[in-house]
Order: sequence, then C-alpha cells, then structure tokens
Amino acid sequence: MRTKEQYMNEMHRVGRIGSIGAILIMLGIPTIIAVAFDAFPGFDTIFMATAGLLAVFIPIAISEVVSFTPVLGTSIYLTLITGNVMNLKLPTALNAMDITNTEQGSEKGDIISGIAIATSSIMTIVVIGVCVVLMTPLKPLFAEPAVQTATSYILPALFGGLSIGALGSNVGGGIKIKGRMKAIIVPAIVVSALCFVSIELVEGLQGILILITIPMIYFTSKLLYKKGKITVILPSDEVNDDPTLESEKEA
Amino acid sequence: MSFYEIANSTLLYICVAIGIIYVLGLSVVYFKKSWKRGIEVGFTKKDLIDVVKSSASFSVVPSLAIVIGLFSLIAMLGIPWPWFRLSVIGSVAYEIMAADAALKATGAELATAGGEMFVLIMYVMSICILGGVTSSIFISKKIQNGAIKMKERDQRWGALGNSTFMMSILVVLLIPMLISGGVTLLTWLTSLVVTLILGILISKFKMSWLKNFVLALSLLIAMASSVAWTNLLG
Repeated sequence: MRTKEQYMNEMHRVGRIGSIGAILIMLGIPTIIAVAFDAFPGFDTIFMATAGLLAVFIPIAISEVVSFTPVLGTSIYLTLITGNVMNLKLPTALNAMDITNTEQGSEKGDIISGIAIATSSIMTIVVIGVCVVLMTPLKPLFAEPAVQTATSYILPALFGGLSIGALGSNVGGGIKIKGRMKAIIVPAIVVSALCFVSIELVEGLQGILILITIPMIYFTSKLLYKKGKITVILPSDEVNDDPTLESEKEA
Repeated sequence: MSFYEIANSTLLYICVAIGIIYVLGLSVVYFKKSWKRGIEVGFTKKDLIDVVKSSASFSVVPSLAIVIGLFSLIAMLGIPWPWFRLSVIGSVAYEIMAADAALKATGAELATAGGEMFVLIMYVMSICILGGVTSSIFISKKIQNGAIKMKERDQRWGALGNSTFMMSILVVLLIPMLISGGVTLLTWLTSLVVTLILGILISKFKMSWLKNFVLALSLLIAMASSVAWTNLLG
C-alpha cells in the first residue's frame, strides 16, 4: 500500500497538471476563435478590459486558495477548475466529511472530499448538458417568478443546515473542540460593524475580509488554546475517560 | 463575422465540447484515484457509495440554479460559450460582470458589437478568473503540507488550527446573511430547523439512510420556504 505522502504527492501532481491543462484550454479557446475568424481584439484592448477586474479578483482568488486548501485538501485544484465553490463544492465536501465523520485536513478527509467534489462536478456538467439540450421546454419553467425567487436564496438555504455542523464542537474524526467559538467573537464584531456601514461593501470585500479574519481567528485560537480556554478532545481521550472501560480494567 | 455568428459557430461548439470533456475526464480521474485510496485506507464500499449518493443528490438543485443563470447568459452570448463557462470555472454574476467590463473598456454596445468584441469578452472572462487556478499550482501543496506538519507536531492544535480556516469563511459569509434579516434570515433559519428536525428523526427512529439526503432536503425545503417568506413579507 502507498504511504500517505505518496498518495498526497500523486494527487497534487494530478491537480497541478490538470490545472495547467485547464488554463491552456481556457485561454486556447478564445485564441483559436480569434485566429480562425481573424477577430483578435489586440493586446492593449485585452489589457485595458482586464486590468480593473484583475485588481478585484486576484485578492479574492488568493483568499479562496488560502482558506479552502486546508478544508478541501488536494481536491482544491478540481474545485477551482469547476467553480461554483461556495454554492456547491464547499457544501458538498463539508457534507460528505460530516456523514463519514472524517476530519478536515486529514488524509481521510482529503479522500472523501475528492470523491464528493468529483461526483458533484460530474453531476453539474451532466445536469447543465441535459438542460441545454432541453432548453426550449425548460425555459418557461425556469422563468417562473417562484423559481427565480427560490434560486436567489440558495446560499442561506444551504448554509443554515451546514452551520450546525460547521460551527458545532464536533470537527470530524471523533475530535471535539470545546469553546472554539470564543475565537470568532472579535472578528464577528468587526464584520458586524462593517455590515452596519454597508452589507454590499462586506459582500464586495468578501475575499479581502477572509484574508484578514484568518490570522485573527488563527492566532486568537492559539492563544486561547494555550491558556486552556479552548480544549480539544481526541477520540483517545474519550476512550481513556470511558468509565465502563475503567471498570472493565479494574475487574 | 458578426458577434452572434462567432458566438454560435460550429468551431466554438467543437472547442467547448473538447473543454467540457477535458473537465469531465479530470473529474473521473479524481474520482477513481480517491475511490481507490479510500478502499486502501479502510473505507467500505458502502461508505463511499453513501458519499456519492449524497453528493450527487445534493448537487442537482444548485446545478439547476446554475442553469437559470445559464439561460440568461445565453440570451447575451449565444449557447456554447456560456455552456462552457458555467460547466467549468465561472459563475453567472462573474460572467456578466466580465462581459460588462469588456464592453465598457471599448465603449461598445452588445446590440452593435462585432466579432472582435465577442473574442474580447471570452478573453476577459477567462483571464480574470484564472488567479485561483494559477496560484493553487504554486501554493496549495505548501499550504496543505504546512497544515499536516502543524498537526504532526501537536495533534490537538493541528485539529483546532485547521478548523480556523472554515470558521473564517463562515464568519465573513454568515454574518451579512444574518444581519440582512428578512427573507434571507428566515430562509437560513428554515434550513437550520429542517436540518435539526431531520437529525432528530435519524437518531430517534434510526433512519440512517436519511443521513445522505439531509443537505439536499434542507436545501429544497428552505428554498421553497423562501417563496413563502417573500410572499408573506412582500
């Protein structure tokens, strides 16, 4: 059997090669079309049109990679290639790790996340493909006001259920963390205060705010953990503390 | 060639088909490798099938939501390119923003735009969203190795440290949702309550099969409730 390192290295290699291929395809398609139809817009026009958006999207992109990699593991590559991270891939992976009781950042969590994200990506491609083929009969149904309303509330509908698992004390793999919410108090106050200034501003700066809150929560957690205000209970602790086992040992 | 002649051209359909097949193929490779390793480390086939069932059933509704956005994008950019963009990296909001940026940069209007404008939109959509994929090639392995080392040094701190990343995402995502109140808050609460009720049903009546569908069901019921909340609150 391969070691954990061998498996991880292989998945990173697949992900990196896959990402390079995806980049080539994404840039290749416009280039092929530009050459075939003699419709290249010029480098200066491309630069002019992309500069503003790049300034907004590069911090978001970096924050996604920094914050999602520890959660999703080696499936981060496929997640970013297939997109729809918040509204589909992240919830799918969290849910899969929850039902298998695997811990984020562990090898088992990595495997489960890989299966979940691959399944979800295949499913999305198939659903979109089928709907494009059936576009004519489906279009009026999807244009219904009720359907439009329901789909605009997809994020709260998703994260209500997920919040229970994501903010509870059980982090998977039988590990429980007591008091970890204490570490989010200050960032939560900061984000709330910003929301009272402008919710649109917070939503627009989501990527940058994640980059700011990560070190805040990380170092506060570390401090509170060292002071004993946050306690981490491993499965082995519970086995040792199990009174039935103690009595069995005594017998 | 005009904007829409290129946007609906056979060549673009062929290119897009190749792109989608590539992403589909990559997903299959990920699936097979993860599945094989899952069996190696001791998961049963039933465990993994449960993950597949749950992930597939849950993915249908958000995928249909993507289709709604796709239909609106098709009206702007023809069929093949939006099909590709939303099957892979993109999202509707981003694509519209990118198309708008391209139009503004040249001062063009969609109704009178030429073929070059369509190619420019394709470039803008592709380039501006590649930051994540590109940076992950360089930093994701380092980030993951760092997290693993942190855990090896101190398993307790490792578990806590790893969980802080998800907490950061949730703080930034959830707080605006909760503060905005109204239908958003009520939809969030509905999803939470439905998940709790399903959790009670699962543990009280030993309905373990239901566990795979909790997320899909809470999503569907909460989305349906958003229509009722909207009608109620006006």
